[in-house]
Amino acid sequence: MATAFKSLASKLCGVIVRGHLTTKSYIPKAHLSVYNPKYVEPVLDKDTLSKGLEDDDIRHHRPVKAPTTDLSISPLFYDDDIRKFTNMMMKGGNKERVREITRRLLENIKHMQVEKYNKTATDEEKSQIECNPVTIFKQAVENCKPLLTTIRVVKSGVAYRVPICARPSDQRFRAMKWIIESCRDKERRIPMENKLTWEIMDAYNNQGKAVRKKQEVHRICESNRAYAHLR
Amino acid sequence: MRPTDVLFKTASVKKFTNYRDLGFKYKVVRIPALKDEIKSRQPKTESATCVNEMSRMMDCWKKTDFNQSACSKETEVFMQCVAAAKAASQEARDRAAKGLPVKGSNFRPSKQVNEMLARYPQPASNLR
Repeated sequence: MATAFKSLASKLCGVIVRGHLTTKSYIPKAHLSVYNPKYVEPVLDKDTLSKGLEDDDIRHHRPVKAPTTDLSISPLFYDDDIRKFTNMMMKGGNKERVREITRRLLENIKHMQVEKYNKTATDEEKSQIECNPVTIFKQAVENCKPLLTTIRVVKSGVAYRVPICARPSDQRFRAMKWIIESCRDKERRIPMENKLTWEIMDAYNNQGKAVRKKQEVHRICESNRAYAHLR
Repeated sequence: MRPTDVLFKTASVKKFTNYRDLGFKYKVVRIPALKDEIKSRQPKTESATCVNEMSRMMDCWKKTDFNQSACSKETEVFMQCVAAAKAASQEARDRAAKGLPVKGSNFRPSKQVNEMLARYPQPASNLR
């Protein structure tokens, strides 16, 4: 009985986790959670919700966690990348402000792309224009991700910079940091959302400061390639 | 010259105390019994993986002025190699956690050997 319950639980948890990862949701780290481990994650995906629960579903008799503030404010923050980007941009805990910046940023991108779409004449060109701002944002971050980074290795008293393959979380952090930092360097009077719009459109087209920073890191790795075996 | 029994009887040799009969045959420095534990040994750290693939990718970058989209083929090969290396190291870790020997070796991990040795302890001494 106990083993049957365990296997069912693991199966269901697998479904819940997989659903969260493939669609859009957020799982807080288990060791940081204040919830009893018996609490299950909330399901926010509308398709999953409309399906309803099966008779043997574990969620019939388990308490469910409340969604976080971010998630209850806007479905925009169901997306892990966007939530991360927003949090990284935040200064002094002023989350409301950065939420607004993110919203306006995506709105700006949408306006730009739709304008382009309407101005083009042929259907062929129109089909090539991406109008989904979230896709553009993700592609821009993807274009800024460094494949390699260097680590410091000390061998016989000499410090070497050894190129290694960057971890996915590190790649994402670097890409977002570079995008934000390059916007902070620009003219101060211009609103952040406008600067970010330009930077992200540049990065989407593989140009701009953030992409150049990535290439710089790759250059450093290339110049230190002789030490790659020291890892 | 080793002192024979006859020589040993003479007074002149008797004064050398280091030839005296101590009453035992062997001095036991260490007890001749196996210990219940072995040295804990860390598995060998892996050498750098995918160095060739990485250098091939860097060559391509240098040719195309660090344009990543022009080197998609090399990048893909490199990523595949990294994924394979990661899977291999994960497998090795899983095997170590289960207490299985490293691939291509018959030696069990030291932690598991210690557990087994502790279960059946050796006699305190084999001396009779």
